[in-house]
Amino acid sequence: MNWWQKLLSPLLALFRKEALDADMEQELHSHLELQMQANLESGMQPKEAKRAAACQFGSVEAVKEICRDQRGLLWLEQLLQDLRYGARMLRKNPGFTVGVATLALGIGVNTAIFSIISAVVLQPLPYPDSERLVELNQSSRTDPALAEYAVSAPNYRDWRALSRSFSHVGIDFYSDFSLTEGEQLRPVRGWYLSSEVLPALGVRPMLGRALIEEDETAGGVALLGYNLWHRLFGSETNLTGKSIVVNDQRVQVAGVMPAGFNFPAATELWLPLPASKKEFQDRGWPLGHVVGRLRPGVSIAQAQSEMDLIARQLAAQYPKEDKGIGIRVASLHSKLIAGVRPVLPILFGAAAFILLIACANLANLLLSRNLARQKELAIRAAVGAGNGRLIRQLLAESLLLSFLGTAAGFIAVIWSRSLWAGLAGRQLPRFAVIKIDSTVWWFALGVAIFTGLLCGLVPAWRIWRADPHDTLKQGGQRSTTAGSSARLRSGLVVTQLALALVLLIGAGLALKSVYYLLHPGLQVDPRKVLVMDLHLPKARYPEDTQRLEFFEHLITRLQTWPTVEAAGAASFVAFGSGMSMPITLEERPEEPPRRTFSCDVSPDFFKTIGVPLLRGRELTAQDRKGAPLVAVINETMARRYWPGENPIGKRFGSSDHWTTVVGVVRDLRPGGVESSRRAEYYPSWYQQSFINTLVVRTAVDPAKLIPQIQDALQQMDKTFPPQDVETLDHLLGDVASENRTLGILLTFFAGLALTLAVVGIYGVIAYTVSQRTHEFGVRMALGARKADVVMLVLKWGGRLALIGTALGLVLAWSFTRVMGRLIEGVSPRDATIFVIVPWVLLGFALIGCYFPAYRASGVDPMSSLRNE
Amino acid sequence: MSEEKMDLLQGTLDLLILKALKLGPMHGFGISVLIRQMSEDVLRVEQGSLYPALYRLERQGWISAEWGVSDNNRKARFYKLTPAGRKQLVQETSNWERLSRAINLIVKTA
Repeated sequence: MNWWQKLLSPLLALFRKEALDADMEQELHSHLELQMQANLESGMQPKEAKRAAACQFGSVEAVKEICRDQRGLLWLEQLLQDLRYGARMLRKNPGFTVGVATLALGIGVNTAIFSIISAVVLQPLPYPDSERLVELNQSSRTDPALAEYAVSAPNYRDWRALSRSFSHVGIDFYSDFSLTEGEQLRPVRGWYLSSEVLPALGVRPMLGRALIEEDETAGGVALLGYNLWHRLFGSETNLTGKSIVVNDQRVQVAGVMPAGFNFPAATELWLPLPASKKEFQDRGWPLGHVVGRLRPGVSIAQAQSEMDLIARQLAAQYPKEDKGIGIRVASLHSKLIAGVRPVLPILFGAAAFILLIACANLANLLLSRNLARQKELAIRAAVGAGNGRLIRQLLAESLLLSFLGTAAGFIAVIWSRSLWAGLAGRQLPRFAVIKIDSTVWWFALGVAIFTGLLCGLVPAWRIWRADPHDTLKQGGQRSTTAGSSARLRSGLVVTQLALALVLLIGAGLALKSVYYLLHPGLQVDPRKVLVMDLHLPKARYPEDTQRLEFFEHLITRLQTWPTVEAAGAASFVAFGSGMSMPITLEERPEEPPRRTFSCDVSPDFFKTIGVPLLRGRELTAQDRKGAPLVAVINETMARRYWPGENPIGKRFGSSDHWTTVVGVVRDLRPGGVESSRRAEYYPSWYQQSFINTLVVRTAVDPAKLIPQIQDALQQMDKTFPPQDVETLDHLLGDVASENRTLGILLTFFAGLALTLAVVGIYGVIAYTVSQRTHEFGVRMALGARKADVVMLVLKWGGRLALIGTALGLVLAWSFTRVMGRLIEGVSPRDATIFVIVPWVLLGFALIGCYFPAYRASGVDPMSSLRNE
Repeated sequence: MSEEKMDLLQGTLDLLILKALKLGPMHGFGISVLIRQMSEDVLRVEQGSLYPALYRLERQGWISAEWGVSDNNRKARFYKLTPAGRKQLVQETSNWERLSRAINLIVKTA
């Protein structure tokens, strides 16, 4: 035989088993006959010859067995045998469908979460050689709030000139543009790009050309996104003469980007950097993101050390702006997923917990069924099946179950993919496409094998420890091994309860955080407050004073309407983001400047959104331009910057402009934890007029008011395009959307885990009850009442539940720390949650115990005494 | 046959079978008879070790088998040496000679 025959022969032996067996049978018999013939020839009688031959030959069956062993792959034959046996057991025990179903649930959830993680973390960016793409940020060594922030244009230019690690490095930043279409102005998302960005990414325009360096000085060109091009110019492919009006300026269309190109974010328009604008000359003005492509052979670590040197060089050269400023180099991929990354381990952990709980259920099922099979297994052991053989059988059965569960779970996942992938996709970065690819298949396979082994090892370990003699002697029912098995089952249930509690607490924390975000404790109904972002086009309103006038005019007009209760304006209404400036306190100039958030507001702004004034006065029309600079501060700023003092009259500011504190308002979002509060100050809009957002409080249905406001806007400026309006509670909902998704997911998982754990404890208590009906009968015959029996069972269950809860609390105490930033406004060790949620678990666990307890009390003492 | 002798034979059984087949193709019964005769009735190979050894040798490619008819018109499976088997026989023979010479040296000295 040559090598491939040798390899295949065991497999072939398997398939041609019957034929080969027949051959062997025939060969051995012909040997017998020949022997008999020889015996006859040597003189024996026929009968004697036959007997002698048979004696000499020995046992035909034994020889056959040895030869069969020789054929190889005996284990495969045995495996198939085990699987067939396992399948038969499954058919006879319908209770196992529950176990398989819970396993399917657990595995399905894990597979879904894994495919999400795979899409985000494992999928590369849609650019060639995307692992060479990096993002560079400025980083303040002294101010922890500025661990990473945007880069200024002069710094970028120096980095580009001085560094050797990159083949391309470009800068980009976001801006609002208005596109003139016909008579109307339409707000458009767009980005300014330096000429190196597209070459760094490795993307070429579909039509026309990319931006070149000359465009930065000359201007007058733009790149369009595919959708925008299609909308304006249809399916034309000729670029000559095509132009658009952006910010009231006509620019030529230099190129069109391919469909689906979305760097840095969903965008329609890209313009070259306008090198002349003053922000681009200011080294201290953080402008935008720097993206670069590493040269082949250069690692991120090498680039980082080079940039560290350059940072030190620049800090020495420009101490005013760059002192203490370092450079951070990180892979672009990691930056793009940074938002969603913290959530992934939590989701994966939760899914893993659910799987463990489901496995414990299945293991318990297997354990109880194996107890019933004790006798059978003991006999097999006594007849010669080694421990290894028995364990292999059990593992084969559990693997069969787990593969069934995996198949069911996998099918469920694929079938419902549009549902959960759609939900998740909204929170994920654009490039992450959730698909069920080979990685996910391998993962599912791995999980199937892992769970099969895990669930099978539990009863298998018990077999290992069992002594077949004991079992056979005692008839299998009340063997000594039952004790340790009960302990094992209790241990599994306790673990299930503990894991479920961890998930419940996590869900509780997440939900509390969502509540905190959605209910900032305003004194007005947020559903009655409209928030409107009016992006006045810079072309028409280049000066701040013009914008101020526009808003003043608008608000005065609105305030005359009977349906409007109050109206105001501010830089933005952002419960969370915003602009920050470094400020020093006049009294303590030696202290380092503190980054503080600020937002320009109109006099009636706080009144409109329902934030109460705590001290001092609100801003008034008297605080005009030219008057001394004033501001209202929030209570956190008052508390942190002037602890224990009255801040009214104190002054703060930056260098030469001192602002006086005239009032203190409550935080926009009071409550929550210290780490989520921040200091904010609110200058008068007359003095600092970066105003964009209108707020209007109404007594009537806000939906009715919206068209009237739009009308008023049109009357004031007829080129004004319709703007986005939402109510304040929608805005709060948007801000909370990520937390809300996490909260929903965790609640769903926690609910699942709780259900499985309750099923687990129900199963164990029910089984124990069924094993001990005899005992109950005796008790009741001796005088115990039904209620006593119920209490007894509840005490068993209660003990398990208590231990599980205690263990769960310990685990939760250490684990919830990882939720950290994801639960805005709530401490990971929130006392309320830690105190209330365990009772929920205990309650449900006791309910789960109640049903078997009730059944136990229904035992008829006489019949159970009669039976054994 | 006592246990110890059987173990030794298992290692050298292959050699004996190959040598027997050198004389020409034959069936399992014939091989066992031949070994017994050539060893002057000392070595009696039991079927429990003969057939497993035959199958093993066949799988390793040193002998090949086909069905045929024995001299008294019985159907039997005949084995014969393959070229590789011939080479293996030479190898095993020289191994055995080395081994037995070494053992003899020890046993024969006083």
